[in-house]
Amino acid sequence: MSALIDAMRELVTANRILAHEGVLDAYGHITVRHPDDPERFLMSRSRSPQHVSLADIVTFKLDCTPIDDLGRPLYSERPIHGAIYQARPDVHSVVHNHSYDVIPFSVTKFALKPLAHVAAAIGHEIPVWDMATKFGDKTNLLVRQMEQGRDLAQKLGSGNVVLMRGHGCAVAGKSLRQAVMAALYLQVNARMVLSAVRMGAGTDIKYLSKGEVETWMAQTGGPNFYDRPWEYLTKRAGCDDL
Amino acid sequence: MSDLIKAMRELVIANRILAKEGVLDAYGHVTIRHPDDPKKFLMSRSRSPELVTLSDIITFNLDCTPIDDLGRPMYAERPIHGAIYEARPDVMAVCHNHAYDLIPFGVTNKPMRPIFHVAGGTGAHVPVWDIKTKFGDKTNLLVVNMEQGRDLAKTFDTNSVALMRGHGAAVGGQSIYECVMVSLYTMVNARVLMDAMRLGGEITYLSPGEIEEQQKVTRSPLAVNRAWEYLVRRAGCENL
Repeated sequence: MSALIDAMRELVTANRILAHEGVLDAYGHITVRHPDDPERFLMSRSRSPQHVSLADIVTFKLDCTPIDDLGRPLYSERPIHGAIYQARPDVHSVVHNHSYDVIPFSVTKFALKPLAHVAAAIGHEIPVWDMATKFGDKTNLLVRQMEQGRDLAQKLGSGNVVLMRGHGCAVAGKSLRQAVMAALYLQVNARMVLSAVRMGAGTDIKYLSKGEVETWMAQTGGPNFYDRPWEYLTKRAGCDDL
Repeated sequence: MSDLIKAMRELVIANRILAKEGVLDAYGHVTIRHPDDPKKFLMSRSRSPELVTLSDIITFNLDCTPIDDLGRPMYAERPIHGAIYEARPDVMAVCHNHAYDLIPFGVTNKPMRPIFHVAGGTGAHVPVWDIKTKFGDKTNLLVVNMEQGRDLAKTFDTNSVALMRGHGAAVGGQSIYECVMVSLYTMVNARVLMDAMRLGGEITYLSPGEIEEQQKVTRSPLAVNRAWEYLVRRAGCENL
Protein backbone atom coordinates (compact mmCIF):
# COMPACT_ATOMS: atom_id res chain seq x y z
CA MET A 1 0.00 0.00 0.00
CA SER A 2 1.27 3.48 -0.78
CA ALA A 3 2.40 5.85 1.94
CA LEU A 4 -0.50 8.12 0.98
CA ILE A 5 -3.17 5.49 1.53
CA ASP A 6 -1.49 4.53 4.83
CA ALA A 7 -1.55 8.17 5.95
CA MET A 8 -5.20 8.58 4.94
CA ARG A 9 -6.18 5.44 6.81
CA GLU A 10 -4.34 6.55 9.96
CA LEU A 11 -6.04 9.94 9.67
CA VAL A 12 -9.50 8.37 9.53
CA THR A 13 -8.65 6.18 12.54
CA ALA A 14 -7.29 9.22 14.42
CA ASN A 15 -10.52 11.16 13.76
CA ARG A 16 -12.59 8.34 15.20
CA ILE A 17 -10.30 7.73 18.19
CA LEU A 18 -10.42 11.38 19.23
CA ALA A 19 -14.21 11.42 18.81
CA HIS A 20 -14.62 8.20 20.76
CA GLU A 21 -12.45 9.48 23.62
CA GLY A 22 -14.45 12.73 23.82
CA VAL A 23 -11.58 14.97 22.74
CA LEU A 24 -13.56 15.96 19.64
CA ASP A 25 -17.35 16.28 19.65
CA ALA A 26 -19.41 17.55 16.73
CA TYR A 27 -16.54 19.94 16.06
CA GLY A 28 -12.75 20.00 15.92
CA HIS A 29 -10.39 18.32 13.48
CA ILE A 30 -7.10 16.49 12.99
CA THR A 31 -4.76 16.70 10.00
CA VAL A 32 -1.55 15.05 8.82
CA ARG A 33 1.19 16.38 6.58
CA HIS A 34 1.19 14.76 3.14
CA PRO A 35 3.71 11.89 3.25
CA ASP A 36 5.02 12.60 -0.29
CA ASP A 37 4.93 16.41 -0.25
CA PRO A 38 5.70 18.45 2.89
CA GLU A 39 4.03 21.47 1.25
CA ARG A 40 0.62 19.84 1.56
CA PHE A 41 -1.58 18.36 4.25
CA LEU A 42 -4.57 16.02 4.43
CA MET A 43 -7.84 16.88 6.18
CA SER A 44 -11.42 15.70 6.04
CA ARG A 45 -14.10 17.71 4.33
CA SER A 46 -16.45 19.47 6.79
CA ARG A 47 -17.82 16.58 8.80
CA SER A 48 -17.95 15.55 12.45
CA PRO A 49 -14.81 13.50 13.17
CA GLN A 50 -16.81 10.46 14.28
CA HIS A 51 -18.14 10.05 10.73
CA VAL A 52 -15.01 10.74 8.68
CA SER A 53 -14.19 8.06 6.13
CA LEU A 54 -11.47 7.66 3.48
CA ALA A 55 -13.67 9.24 0.81
CA ASP A 56 -13.87 12.46 2.88
CA ILE A 57 -10.14 13.24 2.85
CA VAL A 58 -9.15 16.37 0.90
CA THR A 59 -5.60 17.54 0.10
CA PHE A 60 -4.65 21.15 0.90
CA LYS A 61 -1.69 23.39 0.22
CA LEU A 62 -0.10 24.91 3.33
CA ASP A 63 -1.90 28.19 2.54
CA CYS A 64 -5.08 26.12 3.00
CA THR A 65 -6.36 26.24 -0.58
CA PRO A 66 -7.86 22.88 -1.50
CA ILE A 67 -6.53 20.74 -4.34
CA ASP A 68 -9.29 18.13 -4.69
CA ASP A 69 -12.31 19.37 -2.74
CA LEU A 70 -14.77 18.65 -5.60
CA GLY A 71 -17.03 21.40 -4.28
CA ARG A 72 -17.58 19.72 -0.93
CA PRO A 73 -18.00 21.95 2.16
CA LEU A 74 -14.72 22.51 4.00
CA TYR A 75 -13.81 23.27 7.62
CA SER A 76 -13.41 27.02 7.97
CA GLU A 77 -10.55 26.78 10.48
CA ARG A 78 -7.98 25.19 8.16
CA PRO A 79 -5.49 28.03 8.90
CA ILE A 80 -4.86 26.58 12.37
CA HIS A 81 -3.29 23.63 10.62
CA GLY A 82 -1.71 25.26 7.56
CA ALA A 83 0.02 27.96 9.58
CA ILE A 84 1.51 25.50 12.07
CA TYR A 85 2.84 23.30 9.24
CA GLN A 86 4.35 26.41 7.62
CA ALA A 87 6.05 27.52 10.82
CA ARG A 88 7.14 24.11 12.06
CA PRO A 89 8.79 21.71 9.55
CA ASP A 90 9.18 19.20 12.43
CA VAL A 91 5.40 18.95 12.92
CA HIS A 92 3.62 16.20 10.98
CA SER A 93 0.19 16.28 12.54
CA VAL A 94 -2.07 18.89 14.15
CA VAL A 95 -5.22 18.50 16.27
CA HIS A 96 -7.66 21.32 17.01
CA ASN A 97 -10.24 20.57 19.68
CA HIS A 98 -12.71 22.07 22.17
CA SER A 99 -12.16 19.57 24.99
CA TYR A 100 -14.50 20.62 27.78
CA ASP A 101 -11.87 19.83 30.41
CA VAL A 102 -9.21 21.94 28.75
CA ILE A 103 -11.20 25.12 28.06
CA PRO A 104 -11.38 26.25 31.74
CA PHE A 105 -7.59 26.71 31.66
CA SER A 106 -7.89 29.03 28.66
CA VAL A 107 -10.20 31.49 30.43
CA THR A 108 -8.42 31.70 33.81
CA LYS A 109 -4.88 32.51 34.90
CA PHE A 110 -4.46 28.98 36.26
CA ALA A 111 -1.51 27.50 34.32
CA LEU A 112 -2.06 24.03 32.90
CA LYS A 113 1.00 21.82 33.44
CA PRO A 114 1.64 18.07 33.25
CA LEU A 115 1.22 16.27 36.58
CA ALA A 116 1.63 12.68 35.36
CA HIS A 117 4.25 11.07 33.15
CA VAL A 118 1.83 10.05 30.39
CA ALA A 119 0.99 13.72 29.86
CA ALA A 120 4.62 14.81 29.41
CA ALA A 121 4.04 15.40 25.68
CA ILE A 122 1.92 18.45 26.43
CA GLY A 123 5.11 20.25 27.47
CA HIS A 124 6.37 21.93 30.62
CA GLU A 125 4.92 25.35 29.81
CA ILE A 126 1.70 25.82 27.81
CA PRO A 127 1.05 29.24 26.28
CA VAL A 128 -2.45 30.72 25.99
CA TRP A 129 -3.32 32.58 22.78
CA ASP A 130 -6.08 35.18 22.95
CA MET A 131 -7.43 36.10 19.54
CA ALA A 132 -8.70 39.43 20.92
CA THR A 133 -5.15 40.64 21.63
CA LYS A 134 -4.37 41.21 17.96
CA PHE A 135 -7.73 40.89 16.21
CA GLY A 136 -10.06 42.73 18.61
CA ASP A 137 -13.06 41.62 20.64
CA LYS A 138 -15.58 41.50 17.79
CA THR A 139 -14.39 38.31 16.04
CA ASN A 140 -16.37 35.06 16.16
CA LEU A 141 -13.17 33.50 17.61
CA LEU A 142 -12.76 31.20 14.61
CA VAL A 143 -9.31 31.10 12.99
CA ARG A 144 -10.30 31.48 9.36
CA GLN A 145 -7.47 33.54 7.90
CA MET A 146 -3.78 32.70 7.47
CA GLU A 147 -2.85 35.90 9.32
CA GLN A 148 -4.76 34.63 12.35
CA GLY A 149 -3.29 31.14 11.97
CA ARG A 150 0.23 32.55 11.81
CA ASP A 151 -0.34 34.58 14.96
CA LEU A 152 -1.48 31.40 16.71
CA ALA A 153 1.51 29.44 15.37
CA GLN A 154 3.81 32.13 16.72
CA LYS A 155 2.31 31.67 20.19
CA LEU A 156 2.75 27.90 19.91
CA GLY A 157 6.47 28.56 19.37
CA SER A 158 8.52 25.38 19.56
CA GLY A 159 6.06 23.62 21.90
CA ASN A 160 3.39 20.99 21.30
CA VAL A 161 0.31 22.68 22.77
CA VAL A 162 -1.22 26.14 22.70
CA LEU A 163 -4.52 26.95 24.41
CA MET A 164 -6.95 29.27 22.62
CA ARG A 165 -8.91 31.57 24.96
CA GLY A 166 -12.63 30.83 25.04
CA HIS A 167 -12.26 28.32 22.26
CA GLY A 168 -10.05 25.25 22.78
CA CYS A 169 -6.52 24.33 21.81
CA ALA A 170 -4.12 23.31 19.07
CA VAL A 171 -1.87 20.29 19.55
CA ALA A 172 1.12 19.49 17.34
CA GLY A 173 2.98 16.20 17.03
CA LYS A 174 6.06 14.95 15.28
CA SER A 175 3.84 12.09 14.13
CA LEU A 176 0.10 11.59 13.90
CA ARG A 177 0.16 9.15 16.80
CA GLN A 178 2.09 11.57 18.98
CA ALA A 179 -0.43 14.34 18.22
CA VAL A 180 -3.36 12.04 19.08
CA MET A 181 -1.74 10.91 22.32
CA ALA A 182 -0.82 14.47 23.32
CA ALA A 183 -4.38 15.69 22.63
CA LEU A 184 -5.87 12.78 24.56
CA TYR A 185 -3.56 13.13 27.56
CA LEU A 186 -3.92 16.91 27.54
CA GLN A 187 -7.58 16.25 28.32
CA VAL A 188 -6.82 13.54 30.89
CA ASN A 189 -4.25 15.79 32.56
CA ALA A 190 -6.68 18.73 32.67
CA ARG A 191 -9.22 16.48 34.37
CA MET A 192 -6.62 15.38 36.95
CA VAL A 193 -5.61 18.98 37.70
CA LEU A 194 -9.29 19.89 38.15
CA SER A 195 -9.62 16.93 40.53
CA ALA A 196 -6.57 18.06 42.52
CA VAL A 197 -8.09 21.55 42.78
CA ARG A 198 -11.38 20.06 43.98
CA MET A 199 -9.42 18.19 46.66
CA GLY A 200 -8.43 21.60 47.98
CA ALA A 201 -4.91 21.70 46.58
CA GLY A 202 -5.27 25.27 45.34
CA THR A 203 -2.17 25.95 43.30
CA ASP A 204 -0.02 23.68 45.49
CA ILE A 205 0.25 20.78 43.03
CA LYS A 206 3.42 18.83 42.29
CA TYR A 207 3.91 18.95 38.53
CA LEU A 208 6.52 17.13 36.48
CA SER A 209 9.82 18.97 36.45
CA LYS A 210 11.25 20.33 33.21
CA GLY A 211 13.89 17.58 33.37
CA GLU A 212 11.26 14.85 33.76
CA VAL A 213 9.34 16.17 30.77
CA GLU A 214 12.51 16.28 28.65
CA THR A 215 13.62 12.79 29.69
CA TRP A 216 10.20 11.35 28.92
CA MET A 217 10.02 13.03 25.53
CA ALA A 218 13.48 11.76 24.57
CA GLN A 219 12.16 8.19 24.52
CA THR A 220 9.07 8.89 22.40
CA GLY A 221 10.87 9.14 19.07
CA GLY A 222 11.14 5.39 18.39
CA PRO A 223 8.98 3.96 15.60
CA ASN A 224 7.10 1.57 17.90
CA PHE A 225 6.68 3.80 20.93
CA TYR A 226 2.93 4.26 20.49
CA ASP A 227 2.07 0.74 19.25
CA ARG A 228 0.48 -0.41 22.51
CA PRO A 229 -1.92 2.51 23.05
CA TRP A 230 -2.62 2.71 19.34
CA GLU A 231 -3.88 -0.89 19.17
CA TYR A 232 -6.03 -0.25 22.25
CA LEU A 233 -7.45 3.06 21.07
CA THR A 234 -8.09 1.72 17.56
CA LYS A 235 -10.12 -1.20 18.92
CA ARG A 236 -12.03 0.98 21.35
CA ALA A 237 -13.00 3.28 18.49
CA GLY A 238 -14.19 0.28 16.46
CA CYS A 239 -11.57 0.86 13.77
CA ASP A 240 -9.63 -2.40 13.95
CA ASP A 241 -11.23 -3.61 10.69
CA LEU A 242 -10.92 -0.32 8.91
CA MET B 1 -42.46 14.91 2.64
CA SER B 2 -45.00 17.51 3.78
CA ASP B 3 -43.80 20.31 6.03
CA LEU B 4 -45.89 18.91 8.86
CA ILE B 5 -44.46 15.40 8.68
CA LYS B 6 -40.96 16.85 8.39
CA ALA B 7 -41.54 19.02 11.48
CA MET B 8 -42.95 16.07 13.43
CA ARG B 9 -39.99 13.92 12.45
CA GLU B 10 -37.47 16.63 13.45
CA LEU B 11 -39.33 16.99 16.74
CA VAL B 12 -39.02 13.28 17.50
CA ILE B 13 -35.30 13.43 16.65
CA ALA B 14 -34.84 16.55 18.82
CA ASN B 15 -36.46 14.71 21.74
CA ARG B 16 -34.09 11.79 21.40
CA ILE B 17 -30.96 13.89 20.84
CA LEU B 18 -31.61 15.97 23.96
CA ALA B 19 -32.24 12.80 25.96
CA LYS B 20 -29.10 11.11 24.63
CA GLU B 21 -26.93 14.13 25.45
CA GLY B 22 -28.31 14.36 29.00
CA VAL B 23 -30.10 17.69 28.57
CA LEU B 24 -33.43 15.96 29.22
CA ASP B 25 -33.83 13.00 31.56
CA ALA B 26 -37.17 11.45 32.55
CA TYR B 27 -38.58 14.97 32.42
CA GLY B 28 -38.44 18.05 30.25
CA HIS B 29 -39.79 18.60 26.75
CA VAL B 30 -39.12 20.18 23.41
CA THR B 31 -41.71 21.64 21.03
CA ILE B 32 -41.86 23.12 17.54
CA ARG B 33 -44.20 25.76 16.11
CA HIS B 34 -46.64 24.28 13.57
CA PRO B 35 -45.08 24.82 10.11
CA ASP B 36 -48.44 25.65 8.47
CA ASP B 37 -50.06 27.63 11.28
CA PRO B 38 -48.05 29.91 13.59
CA LYS B 39 -50.95 29.87 16.06
CA LYS B 40 -50.31 26.21 16.89
CA PHE B 41 -47.43 24.14 18.14
CA LEU B 42 -46.50 20.45 18.23
CA MET B 43 -45.57 18.57 21.38
CA SER B 44 -45.44 14.95 22.51
CA ARG B 45 -48.05 13.48 24.81
CA SER B 46 -46.76 13.03 28.37
CA ARG B 47 -43.80 10.74 27.85
CA SER B 48 -40.05 10.79 28.58
CA PRO B 49 -38.29 12.36 25.58
CA GLU B 50 -36.07 9.33 24.94
CA LEU B 51 -39.19 7.31 24.11
CA VAL B 52 -41.14 9.79 21.99
CA THR B 53 -42.31 8.55 18.56
CA LEU B 54 -44.28 10.13 15.70
CA SER B 55 -47.58 8.79 16.99
CA ASP B 56 -47.08 10.64 20.30
CA ILE B 57 -47.16 14.11 18.72
CA ILE B 58 -50.18 16.28 19.57
CA THR B 59 -51.13 19.68 18.11
CA PHE B 60 -51.89 22.52 20.54
CA ASN B 61 -53.25 26.04 20.25
CA LEU B 62 -50.93 28.69 21.69
CA ASP B 63 -53.18 28.86 24.77
CA CYS B 64 -52.14 25.21 25.24
CA THR B 65 -55.54 23.62 24.64
CA PRO B 66 -55.07 20.39 22.68
CA ILE B 67 -56.56 19.79 19.25
CA ASP B 68 -56.00 16.08 18.77
CA ASP B 69 -55.05 14.62 22.16
CA LEU B 70 -57.48 11.68 21.89
CA GLY B 71 -57.66 11.54 25.68
CA ARG B 72 -53.97 10.82 26.11
CA PRO B 73 -52.14 12.24 29.16
CA MET B 74 -50.38 15.52 28.45
CA TYR B 75 -47.41 17.40 29.95
CA ALA B 76 -48.63 19.81 32.63
CA GLU B 77 -46.11 22.51 31.76
CA ARG B 78 -47.32 23.30 28.25
CA PRO B 79 -47.68 27.00 29.19
CA ILE B 80 -43.88 27.41 29.17
CA HIS B 81 -44.06 26.75 25.45
CA GLY B 82 -47.37 28.36 24.52
CA ALA B 83 -46.53 31.62 26.31
CA ILE B 84 -43.10 31.94 24.69
CA TYR B 85 -44.59 31.29 21.22
CA GLU B 86 -47.24 33.94 21.95
CA ALA B 87 -44.70 36.53 23.03
CA ARG B 88 -41.99 35.74 20.48
CA PRO B 89 -43.11 35.33 16.85
CA ASP B 90 -39.44 34.73 15.90
CA VAL B 91 -39.18 31.63 18.12
CA MET B 92 -39.86 28.41 16.19
CA ALA B 93 -38.86 25.86 18.84
CA VAL B 94 -38.74 25.75 22.64
CA CYS B 95 -37.03 23.37 25.06
CA HIS B 96 -37.72 23.14 28.77
CA ASN B 97 -35.11 21.16 30.66
CA HIS B 98 -33.71 20.39 34.11
CA ALA B 99 -30.06 20.00 33.03
CA TYR B 100 -28.21 19.27 36.26
CA ASP B 101 -25.28 21.53 35.37
CA LEU B 102 -27.58 24.50 34.78
CA ILE B 103 -29.66 24.40 37.93
CA PRO B 104 -26.85 25.70 40.23
CA PHE B 105 -26.84 28.95 38.23
CA GLY B 106 -30.54 29.46 38.94
CA VAL B 107 -30.13 29.26 42.71
CA THR B 108 -26.98 31.33 43.22
CA ASN B 109 -25.92 34.81 42.23
CA LYS B 110 -23.35 33.38 39.80
CA PRO B 111 -24.39 34.58 36.34
CA MET B 112 -24.57 32.14 33.44
CA ARG B 113 -22.50 33.70 30.66
CA PRO B 114 -20.87 32.14 27.60
CA ILE B 115 -17.17 31.46 28.12
CA PHE B 116 -16.42 29.52 24.96
CA HIS B 117 -17.32 30.15 21.37
CA VAL B 118 -19.73 27.28 20.67
CA ALA B 119 -21.86 28.52 23.58
CA GLY B 120 -22.21 31.96 21.99
CA GLY B 121 -25.76 31.01 21.01
CA THR B 122 -26.69 31.15 24.70
CA GLY B 123 -26.61 34.94 24.33
CA ALA B 124 -25.08 37.77 26.32
CA HIS B 125 -27.80 37.84 28.97
CA VAL B 126 -29.44 34.86 30.69
CA PRO B 127 -32.17 36.11 33.04
CA VAL B 128 -33.32 34.11 36.06
CA TRP B 129 -37.07 33.79 36.62
CA ASP B 130 -38.33 32.97 40.11
CA ILE B 131 -41.94 31.76 40.19
CA LYS B 132 -42.11 32.84 43.84
CA THR B 133 -41.73 36.53 43.02
CA LYS B 134 -45.24 36.76 41.60
CA PHE B 135 -46.92 33.51 42.64
CA GLY B 136 -45.73 33.09 46.23
CA ASP B 137 -43.74 30.42 48.03
CA LYS B 138 -46.46 27.76 48.11
CA THR B 139 -46.43 26.70 44.43
CA ASN B 140 -45.06 23.31 43.33
CA LEU B 141 -42.77 25.33 41.01
CA LEU B 142 -44.43 23.90 37.91
CA VAL B 143 -45.63 26.34 35.25
CA VAL B 144 -49.14 25.03 34.85
CA ASN B 145 -51.24 28.00 33.71
CA MET B 146 -50.92 30.67 31.06
CA GLU B 147 -50.57 33.45 33.63
CA GLN B 148 -47.43 31.78 34.97
CA GLY B 149 -46.18 31.03 31.46
CA ARG B 150 -46.66 34.65 30.39
CA ASP B 151 -44.78 35.87 33.45
CA LEU B 152 -41.90 33.58 32.52
CA ALA B 153 -42.07 34.75 28.88
CA LYS B 154 -41.83 38.35 30.12
CA THR B 155 -38.58 37.56 31.93
CA PHE B 156 -37.42 35.48 28.94
CA ASP B 157 -37.93 38.68 26.92
CA THR B 158 -35.75 38.86 23.78
CA ASN B 159 -33.17 36.38 25.08
CA SER B 160 -32.47 32.80 23.97
CA VAL B 161 -32.28 31.24 27.42
CA ALA B 162 -33.91 31.92 30.80
CA LEU B 163 -33.15 30.00 33.98
CA MET B 164 -36.01 29.03 36.28
CA ARG B 165 -35.03 29.18 39.97
CA GLY B 166 -34.92 25.75 41.62
CA HIS B 167 -36.31 24.16 38.50
CA GLY B 168 -34.40 24.37 35.21
CA ALA B 169 -34.37 26.42 32.05
CA ALA B 170 -36.36 27.50 29.01
CA VAL B 171 -34.59 27.78 25.66
CA GLY B 172 -35.97 29.30 22.45
CA GLY B 173 -34.55 29.02 18.92
CA GLN B 174 -35.28 30.40 15.48
CA SER B 175 -35.27 26.76 14.33
CA ILE B 176 -35.42 23.41 16.05
CA TYR B 177 -31.73 22.96 15.21
CA GLU B 178 -30.81 26.17 16.98
CA CYS B 179 -33.01 25.25 19.94
CA VAL B 180 -31.28 21.86 20.30
CA MET B 181 -27.77 23.29 19.85
CA VAL B 182 -28.33 26.14 22.31
CA SER B 183 -29.90 23.77 24.87
CA LEU B 184 -26.94 21.40 24.56
CA TYR B 185 -24.13 23.95 24.55
CA THR B 186 -25.66 26.04 27.35
CA MET B 187 -25.37 22.90 29.47
CA VAL B 188 -21.79 22.30 28.33
CA ASN B 189 -20.97 25.95 29.02
CA ALA B 190 -22.30 25.54 32.57
CA ARG B 191 -19.99 22.57 33.12
CA VAL B 192 -16.95 24.37 31.71
CA LEU B 193 -17.79 27.54 33.63
CA MET B 194 -18.11 25.67 36.93
CA ASP B 195 -14.66 24.16 36.35
CA ALA B 196 -13.23 27.60 35.56
CA MET B 197 -14.76 28.93 38.80
CA ARG B 198 -13.15 26.06 40.70
CA LEU B 199 -9.74 27.08 39.36
CA GLY B 200 -10.30 30.48 40.97
CA GLY B 201 -9.32 33.99 40.00
CA GLU B 202 -10.63 36.13 37.23
CA ILE B 203 -12.51 34.52 34.33
CA THR B 204 -12.46 35.89 30.79
CA TYR B 205 -15.94 35.52 29.29
CA LEU B 206 -16.80 36.03 25.62
CA SER B 207 -17.16 39.73 24.83
CA PRO B 208 -20.53 41.09 23.63
CA GLY B 209 -19.10 41.39 20.11
CA GLU B 210 -17.83 37.79 20.16
CA ILE B 211 -21.23 36.54 21.34
CA GLU B 212 -23.00 38.41 18.56
CA GLU B 213 -20.66 36.97 15.92
CA GLN B 214 -20.91 33.45 17.34
CA GLN B 215 -24.73 33.59 17.27
CA LYS B 216 -24.41 33.99 13.51
CA VAL B 217 -22.10 30.95 13.36
CA THR B 218 -24.60 28.94 15.44
CA ARG B 219 -27.21 29.59 12.75
CA SER B 220 -24.94 28.91 9.73
CA PRO B 221 -25.55 25.78 7.62
CA LEU B 222 -21.85 24.79 7.90
CA ALA B 223 -22.06 24.57 11.69
CA VAL B 224 -25.62 23.22 11.92
CA ASN B 225 -25.33 20.51 9.26
CA ARG B 226 -22.12 19.11 10.70
CA ALA B 227 -23.48 18.93 14.23
CA TRP B 228 -26.89 17.63 13.21
CA GLU B 229 -25.48 14.60 11.35
CA TYR B 230 -23.35 13.83 14.40
CA LEU B 231 -26.13 14.24 16.97
CA VAL B 232 -28.69 12.32 14.91
CA ARG B 233 -26.38 9.32 14.59
CA ARG B 234 -25.36 9.38 18.25
CA ALA B 235 -29.03 9.29 19.19
CA GLY B 236 -29.56 6.33 16.84
CA CYS B 237 -32.04 8.27 14.70
CA GLU B 238 -30.38 8.11 11.28
CA ASN B 239 -32.93 5.61 10.00
CA LEU B 240 -35.92 7.20 11.63
